[in-house]
Amino acid sequence: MSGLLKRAVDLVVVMLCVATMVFVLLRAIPGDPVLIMGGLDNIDAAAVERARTEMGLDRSLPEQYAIWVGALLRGDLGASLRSGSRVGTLIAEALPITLQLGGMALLIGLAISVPAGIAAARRAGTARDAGITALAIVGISTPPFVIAMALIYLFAVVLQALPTSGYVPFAEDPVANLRHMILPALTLGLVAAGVLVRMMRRCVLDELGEDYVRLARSKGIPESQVTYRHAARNAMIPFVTIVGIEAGILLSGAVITETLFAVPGLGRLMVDNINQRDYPVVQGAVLVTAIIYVLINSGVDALYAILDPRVGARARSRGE
Amino acid sequence: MTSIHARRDILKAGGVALAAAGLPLAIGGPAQAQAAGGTLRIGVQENFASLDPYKRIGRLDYNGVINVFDTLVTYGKDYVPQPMLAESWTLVNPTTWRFSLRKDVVFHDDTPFDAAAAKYSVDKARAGQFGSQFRAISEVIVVDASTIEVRCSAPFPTILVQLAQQYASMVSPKAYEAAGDNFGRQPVGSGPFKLQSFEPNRQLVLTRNDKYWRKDAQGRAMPYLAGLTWRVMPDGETASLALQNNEIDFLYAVPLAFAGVLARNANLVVDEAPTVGWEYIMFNCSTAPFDNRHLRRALQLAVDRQAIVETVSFGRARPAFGPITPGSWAYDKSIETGGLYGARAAKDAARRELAAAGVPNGFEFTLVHPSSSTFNAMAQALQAQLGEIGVKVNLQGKQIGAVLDDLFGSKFQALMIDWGGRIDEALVFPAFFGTGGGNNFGKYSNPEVDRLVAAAGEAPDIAARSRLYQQAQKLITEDSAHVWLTVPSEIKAYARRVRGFVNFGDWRLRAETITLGS
Amino acid sequence: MIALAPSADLLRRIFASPMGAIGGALLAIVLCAAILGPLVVAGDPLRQFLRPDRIFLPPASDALFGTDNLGRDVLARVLAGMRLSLALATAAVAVGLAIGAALGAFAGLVGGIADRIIVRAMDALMAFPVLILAIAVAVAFGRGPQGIVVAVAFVNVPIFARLARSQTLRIVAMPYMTAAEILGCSLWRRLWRHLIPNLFNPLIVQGTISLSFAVLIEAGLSFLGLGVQAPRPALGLMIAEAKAFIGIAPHLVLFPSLGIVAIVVALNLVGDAFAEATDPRRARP
Repeated sequence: MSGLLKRAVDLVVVMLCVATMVFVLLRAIPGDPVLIMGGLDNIDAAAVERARTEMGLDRSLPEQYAIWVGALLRGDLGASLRSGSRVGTLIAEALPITLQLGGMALLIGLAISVPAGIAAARRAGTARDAGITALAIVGISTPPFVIAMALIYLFAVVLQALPTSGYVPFAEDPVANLRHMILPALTLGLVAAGVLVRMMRRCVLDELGEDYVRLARSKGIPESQVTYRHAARNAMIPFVTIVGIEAGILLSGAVITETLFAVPGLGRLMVDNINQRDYPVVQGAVLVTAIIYVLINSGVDALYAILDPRVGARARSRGE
Repeated sequence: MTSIHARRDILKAGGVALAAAGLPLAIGGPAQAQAAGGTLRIGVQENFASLDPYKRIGRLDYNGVINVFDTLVTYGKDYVPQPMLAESWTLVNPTTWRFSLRKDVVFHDDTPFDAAAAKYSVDKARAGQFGSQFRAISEVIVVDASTIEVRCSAPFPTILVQLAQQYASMVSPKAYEAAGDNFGRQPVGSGPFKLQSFEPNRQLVLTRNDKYWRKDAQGRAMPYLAGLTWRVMPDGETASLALQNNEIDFLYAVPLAFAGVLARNANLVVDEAPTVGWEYIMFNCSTAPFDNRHLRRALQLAVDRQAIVETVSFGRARPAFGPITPGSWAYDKSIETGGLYGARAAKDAARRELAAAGVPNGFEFTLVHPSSSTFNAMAQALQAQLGEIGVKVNLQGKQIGAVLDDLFGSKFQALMIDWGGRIDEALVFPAFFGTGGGNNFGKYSNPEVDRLVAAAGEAPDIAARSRLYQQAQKLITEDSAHVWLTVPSEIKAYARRVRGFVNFGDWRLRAETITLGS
Repeated sequence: MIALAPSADLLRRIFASPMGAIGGALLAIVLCAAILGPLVVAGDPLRQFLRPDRIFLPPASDALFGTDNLGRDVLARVLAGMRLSLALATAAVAVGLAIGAALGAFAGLVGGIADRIIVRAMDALMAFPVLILAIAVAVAFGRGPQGIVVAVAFVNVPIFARLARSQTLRIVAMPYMTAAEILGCSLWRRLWRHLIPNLFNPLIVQGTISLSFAVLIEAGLSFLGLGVQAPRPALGLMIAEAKAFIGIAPHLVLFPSLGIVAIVVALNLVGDAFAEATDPRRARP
């Protein structure tokens, strides 16, 4: 129990550090946000001053920080400087979209990587293995925006089959929603598959080298059964932790992909607002992303410890 | 294209009394009897900002405004003012205009359009972003429920073109008072469409105003469409592909690189019209280095416009020789050969200007520009051309919003952007080149130009106005307040089933005449 | 025992494996192309030819990789871009490695409060989505290559710090370290003769892997318009500008993409081969 409490405290401390870092980083960016944003509407001196007071930009930095942290602990993420909308609302609108994108990408990545990884491990050292590994390496070496443009060119220019940008809410039209999300999800999924294939292959190979596999083989159990029923299953345990980390990366808002495909998710929210110095929105979005990241990692750690008692024991003996 | 002769008629002094009550605008109904209805899906590449006609909003926003609001006066493809919410007008005396208003107009919130609403709206326009255009107006009086009188401090013959602009739209006073600063998100006008939903970064949805006052020549109710959906698609390329894939029906601004591809598509219509605007560089004349006239002139002379037109603009533009464009009634073709500069660079003359400024080996400055494909290419092309005379250009490409921020705050040395153009020089010269003008963010000032422009605003006939604007243009180009680069074309593309769209060349999508075939 | 530098034996093992061999060969090609290429190839990456007959030339015409929308030679630009990517990535990873390793080793040696603070700070940095952190730093530092170098270095510091710290903890607990201390070896001597050489291999392995990510991050940042400004050729920037012409000149997207992929694949292959060769647990194929 104390371990769990310790983890929770750790989490809070890390979040506080993240919040501080975000605050400092954003304030380091030159440019007065009020003037930068005031440009598009009537520039009215009184309105500018009012905005400045509202946002607390006239107070000293330590004061601003105190206000920020205080609000955070209350769960208040502030309001957008630009539109006045609550940051919480903006994030609540963007988050499900990013989650959907990340989820679809992860599914695609798993659907490709699990069978491919097992196939490569079964024929380790052969041409098939080399071929799959080569594809995987190309997958992780290609920037997502390049994959995106290749997909756009293929599906939109050549085949003229899918929409190339934009977003339709699921509630409004599920089919259109999926049609719009498939290309960005495929982009991220292919990159994820590249990482996951090699991990799956490695995990399965590790299992295939274990004693129990040799035992099973010597008992005459067919190779395919050994691979699928025993090695692959056991390989899922360490594999899950890697998937967890990859999920964190995916969910962190595939910034460029969202921008390219005009998907209004969390990543795009951050980028759109960084240039406009809309501090509260960026702070809130980055914080939420970091929380998701850390939660997933912590969850994966805990899951691993539960699934594999050896890991838990080793960790405890090391006093971590 | 534009008819100089028609314009001459309308701009005769003494005003024009148009006695046609209930005169429908000069359009016919659809060629065949087509079913009304359908939603037109339009792709645009910028975000919306606001639909408040009196605030500083962008060209795209004005397209929303023109469909949601009406104005007192409007114009046709020939740019000749025609009645809209004002059925007729007379010039009571040289400084007083009297407008007789339609009695059958109702705002989207069911409040009536009357003289009080008209006065409210005109006063709002006078206090808005383009209030300086209405400087000559001293007072607006409600004579009776459907008549207003506009009293001016000086003759104001261009009042009709000014009232035809979106920044003089008629708004519902009740709604404006209630919404205040929020009116831009909840606009209420009397136009053919009303607001259904508005997400500035994603889409604008308008639906048919069933109580619209206008009927077509066959007496049918307008508009024909059931609604408009404007979709923000930041990528010009993917927007073009969306049009080809039938995800949208209408592409508001076709990226130049795709014009040829779309034109070859049998299902699409590519509509190209020269504009009366420019792609240009505005100098900040109030700070170094461009407070020095010679340096401005050096850049003006060193640019090879023909090369830019042929490559960056894909041939779909013309070199710009000054603020008056070929489509304007004030255009004098002789400027193409006899002006300060020609279509090609005059590098020796440019170097002489540098020497006169004391920097014969060149100098350095920063150029701000939108980071769109065309402007990126244009900026880099200019950078190379200016490098040939030793001028080092530091490029700062930014999102259009950030560029506009720099522009409106005069935070630039030189800024490259485009200008959509206006149907009358009176809407351009005072704003851009008059001291303190609404678009004069470069703080250019020349008292002689002010005098000429003021005189042109009050001159009796079109020939006199033409002469005065040309004289002003000469001074302005000699001063090189801007570097005028090209006169771009406005290229639209849409599916063949979209009928009834008329391209005025003024960057406005007037949707009330559009029908969707099958 | 102690390895001061990748021994000849280690190098042989790296490049003997198929992955290492291919990767090594590709890396050699990439390096030659990037470093020597601009000297050998005639085109000027910045020279424009603003004429309708010189723009958008397809590949294998006058220009091997074709020309872009301003008539510039694509081959020259891709080679210059590859050089830039490698230079920026190397600088960034070097800085990140130096700072991170110093921080991590310090934390491992000193322990106590300083250790706890550093660990928390590194955890917090790693909790940031990588690209967002890079974007924020790049925007804060303004445009230009220095912003990219700082951003990518920033992102790498926690990785190297964690690695250095865990390695330091492991090494310090080794018997020979205690023995050296008992024998009267000064702290400095112990560091120099024992700690640093043993940190070397894992840091280099991680460094190679980080290099490949650094190139990808740099490509992403320049795709977003941060970092090196036009008209200088950065591969990501070239792809971003070429996007507008994908319908009429896809080769403008293809060649810079191949440039990035070639570099990153080469780095990944070599890095993986290195990791496998130095990791005792991975003796199996």
